[in-house]
Amino acid sequence: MNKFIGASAAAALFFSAATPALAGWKLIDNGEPVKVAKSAMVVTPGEDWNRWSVRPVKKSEIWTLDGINLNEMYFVSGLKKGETLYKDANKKAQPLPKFDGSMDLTEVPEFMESSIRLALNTSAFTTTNVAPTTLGGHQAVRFEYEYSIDGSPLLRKGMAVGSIVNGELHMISYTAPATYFYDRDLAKAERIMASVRF
Amino acid sequence: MVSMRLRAALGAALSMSLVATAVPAHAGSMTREGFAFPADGDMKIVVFRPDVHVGSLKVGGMDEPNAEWTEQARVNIQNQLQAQAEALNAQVSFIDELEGENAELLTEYRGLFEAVSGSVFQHVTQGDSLDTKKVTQTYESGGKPRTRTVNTLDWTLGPGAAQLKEATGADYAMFVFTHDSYGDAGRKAAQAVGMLGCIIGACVVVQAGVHVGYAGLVNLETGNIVWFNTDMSMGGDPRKEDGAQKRVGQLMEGFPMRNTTVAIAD
Repeated sequence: MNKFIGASAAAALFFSAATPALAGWKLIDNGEPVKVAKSAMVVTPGEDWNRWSVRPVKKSEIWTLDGINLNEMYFVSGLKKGETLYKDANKKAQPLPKFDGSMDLTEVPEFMESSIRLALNTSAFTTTNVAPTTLGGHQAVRFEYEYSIDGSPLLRKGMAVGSIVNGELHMISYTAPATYFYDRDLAKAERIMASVRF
Repeated sequence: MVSMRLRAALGAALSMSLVATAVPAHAGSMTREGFAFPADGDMKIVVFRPDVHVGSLKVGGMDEPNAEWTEQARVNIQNQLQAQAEALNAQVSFIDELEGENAELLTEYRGLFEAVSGSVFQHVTQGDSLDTKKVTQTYESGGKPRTRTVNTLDWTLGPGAAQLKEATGADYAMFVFTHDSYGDAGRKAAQAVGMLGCIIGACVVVQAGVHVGYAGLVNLETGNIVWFNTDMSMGGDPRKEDGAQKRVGQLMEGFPMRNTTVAIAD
């Protein structure tokens, strides 16, 4: 509708253009193990977070501290072959890539990059620092990324960890503005990622 | 099939109600909890070039920018901000752009302020509350102590905003944003009819236009947003002088006035 709404909706675009009226938030208590993304994934945050009632895809979940355009944890667990990472809102004109269980870990960053490029309609996206790690005891890939959206001078940074177990994708990403927020909350996101149990 | 149709109608009504909820006469002026300007001494506020957009709203909902209207409105709003700044009991300076590296810095913080404003707008103004931002207050009603949970203005741009303090010498920075879209001839005709078609059981009332604005004040020492005011249906036509006067008056509503009568230094 305009730049003002655009600012708040920029990150939300990922998910759905028409959800705020029904949206709601629930408190996630610090130190309490909690199941996420309607799956077997359990995480334990080090501080209180807010969980959004909106789920971009069935087995997903969004948390924030200050609002999803300022800090966003996106959990996806148990994504199967043929499913998309975000809501396939414009599937006729611009379908999102579908997950393929035969992908190997090195293809996960590319899967996320192409999903975000299409979902946000941005060409300004770079992936960096791809490295092996673990997620809940499984082999995983960690990578960083940054992008900007048309019409906004704000650079956004992110970090994600993804794992493929029995042909299903489990992934947690953390995205925030490069200015101030990304660095401030990175350790909190890393702690959540390190706390994963299945 | 019936349920599918019902669902479609509900879906349509829902998405339309979203259009409606984007425009209600929501006004909100909030000050950070515990915030007050220092009672004495000099206080400098820098007001950055207002971000002004004026355009036409087409029947299909397209928003077509109008450069002439936008420039006229920007000049009028700037003039009114300058005229009304005298009441703030502070040294107020107006800076359009900064130079060299500081120009990029300002652009970066404009972008961050915009993102933070989006969050404040969603989670405070619109009431889509975040539990981590709520506080419980006690108050008295009918002689009995009661408690209530309220949203707080607890957002910041971070201590890096102090770079703007270095660049401008100001203690506080004010950002101002307005966006107006006037219905054009086709849209006005549709409005006269009152409805733009009644399809699948839901009728859409055509909006007269979009008139939103916000103003926010940032403490350049901490980066904290100390005051934020937004209105989703602002009055006053900023393309005209008297309209801009009304608009700026609304944007400045609830500004935390300084509790002193300290003479303003030159």
